[in-house]
Amino acid sequence: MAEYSILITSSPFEGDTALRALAFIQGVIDNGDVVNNVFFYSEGVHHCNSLMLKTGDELFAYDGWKALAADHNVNLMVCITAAVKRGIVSEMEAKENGIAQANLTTPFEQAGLGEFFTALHECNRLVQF
Amino acid sequence: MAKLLIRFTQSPFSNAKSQDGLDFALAATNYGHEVKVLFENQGVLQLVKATSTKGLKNHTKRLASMPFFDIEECFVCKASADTYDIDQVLANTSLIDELDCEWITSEEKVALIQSVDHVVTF
Repeated sequence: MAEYSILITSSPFEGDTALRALAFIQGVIDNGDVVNNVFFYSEGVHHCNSLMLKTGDELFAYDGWKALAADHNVNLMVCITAAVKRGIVSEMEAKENGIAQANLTTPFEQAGLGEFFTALHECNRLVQF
Repeated sequence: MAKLLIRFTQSPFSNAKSQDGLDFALAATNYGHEVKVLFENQGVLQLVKATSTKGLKNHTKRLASMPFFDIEECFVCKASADTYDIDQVLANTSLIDELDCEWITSEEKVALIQSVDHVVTF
């Protein structure tokens, strides 16, 4: 049984990347392998913005991530440094900085590169989208 | 401990990827992983020394700090440098000596990728 870490560095708006990432993760789970974590880094943090709305017949990846966490208990980690500078803030940062609205909520959890690299010790596969 | 190859493929200031990639590489060795870096495609432009600009992180200085984070193995794609015709620029103002970079061919790149556990591209 393989244990995977999934690194998302592309934004939701980069072609079919999110579609492929979600399909890949579903495949890993269907194979009976384990997804230790999904780590959103760099432009990938835009996936965690809860203020996005669904448009037309396009994939709405945000719902896909939520479903992964709900159905398979996948750990969704967001790099806090990369997120806050791109305007993805939790309730706490919003309050502390007088920002009207937080847009990072469960199941996404703030983490650092340290947590990602610590978890990587447990994983034998790292796949980047 | 995992062996990681970090590929730098973007020019230093066209987007945030170079900076994010470097942060990623420096953090990896802090948590007990082994890191090798490869500059290819437009990433070879990161090896041209840039002066400081107020409001921008000095990418040249940050790259030069990699050996202090135990990132000793740096590789540069020869074909990419040829494509951008920057050999002459690199010869005069280059980070390659400071980082002790090794020029590699496409075949050697394949061997390099096979020598690591994970490859991450920025």
